[in-house]
Amino acid sequence: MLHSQPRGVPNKHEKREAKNVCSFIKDAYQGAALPATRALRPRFSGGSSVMRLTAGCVLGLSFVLGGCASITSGTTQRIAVTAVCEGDIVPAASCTLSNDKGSWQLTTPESTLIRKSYGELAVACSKAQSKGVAKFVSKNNNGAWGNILAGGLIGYAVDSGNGAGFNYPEEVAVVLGSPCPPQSVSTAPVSTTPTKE
Amino acid sequence: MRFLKLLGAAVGAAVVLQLTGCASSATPQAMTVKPGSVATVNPKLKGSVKLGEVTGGKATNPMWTSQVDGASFKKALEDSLAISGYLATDPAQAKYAVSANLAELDQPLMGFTLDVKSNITYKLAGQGVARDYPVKATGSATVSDAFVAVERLRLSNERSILENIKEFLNQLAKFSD
Repeated sequence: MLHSQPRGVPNKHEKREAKNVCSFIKDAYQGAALPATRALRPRFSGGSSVMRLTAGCVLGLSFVLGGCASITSGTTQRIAVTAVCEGDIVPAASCTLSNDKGSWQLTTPESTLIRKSYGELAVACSKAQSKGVAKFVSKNNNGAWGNILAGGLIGYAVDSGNGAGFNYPEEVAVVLGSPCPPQSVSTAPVSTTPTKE
Repeated sequence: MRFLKLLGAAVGAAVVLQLTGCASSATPQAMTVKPGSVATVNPKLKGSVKLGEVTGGKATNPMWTSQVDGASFKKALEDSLAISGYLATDPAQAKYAVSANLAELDQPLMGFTLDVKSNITYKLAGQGVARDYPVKATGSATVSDAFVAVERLRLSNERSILENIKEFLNQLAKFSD
């Protein structure tokens, strides 16, 4: 049997289906629920079907809008800083870490919790007359790729905006310029080289 | 039937993601040695080396595989020399110059564990010394490191160059006239 229906124009059956869907939404909005929701009503006496529908939509949207990395890896990251001068580790150097989300301070060899970002991280350290600055770029983490797998471009945008989709290196080193401050410690492996006093 | 279609789409998406995705270049910070990870600094070369010519490397085409470009390799080598204590504060006062040629980066076509082999020739020159240091090193990354293949390859590249620079610095520590 040949169909003379042109492409893109709904037939009678499709029009009836669309009408059913519209009336479903209308009924749900007006609280005149479907048999299934009506059956559930005594158990959930606290809310109407509209509320349940709204709650379901919000929950669904939160999964789409939340982004994979925001859920799996969060928006913060711990970073450890080491200051070195002429190959020796410099303890107790004052460092400031900063990116477009804020700035944080620590004293080496401590670590601190920072807000992640797409933008680069600048680390400036100083001790006595010796100063040094280093910059580090962030890279996509697995959560950002998960957005692509799940088809969540909105999720990717959210992860990019709050920095959750990116990671900085967990350990960073800043080279201080001469003259080196006193009490630097040799960077060589402990088993092979004694520390310098 | 519908479930099978969904399952097929999910598997298809996973395969596409494994095979494609935008490749990104290796980062200098991931190829730079960490303080304390190499042998003690050679006192003969401490603070007396400058970085000379660095050649080789390839730019990354986002639609193809991750590579190590010359500028990133140069930055990683320079920072590694600085962290290890070899780099002179004033290049004009340096007695020696280190140059390097990233000759080859042997990358696998596909696989779960990607092993990348790097072949770099370093040269130390100055004070009547001209010595070549050909170094080969391998870097690996598994699916647990990165699910997406292009990311896994980038990690393998970075680890291979990092190991290569480490080995060179360990050889510098043994240097004598």
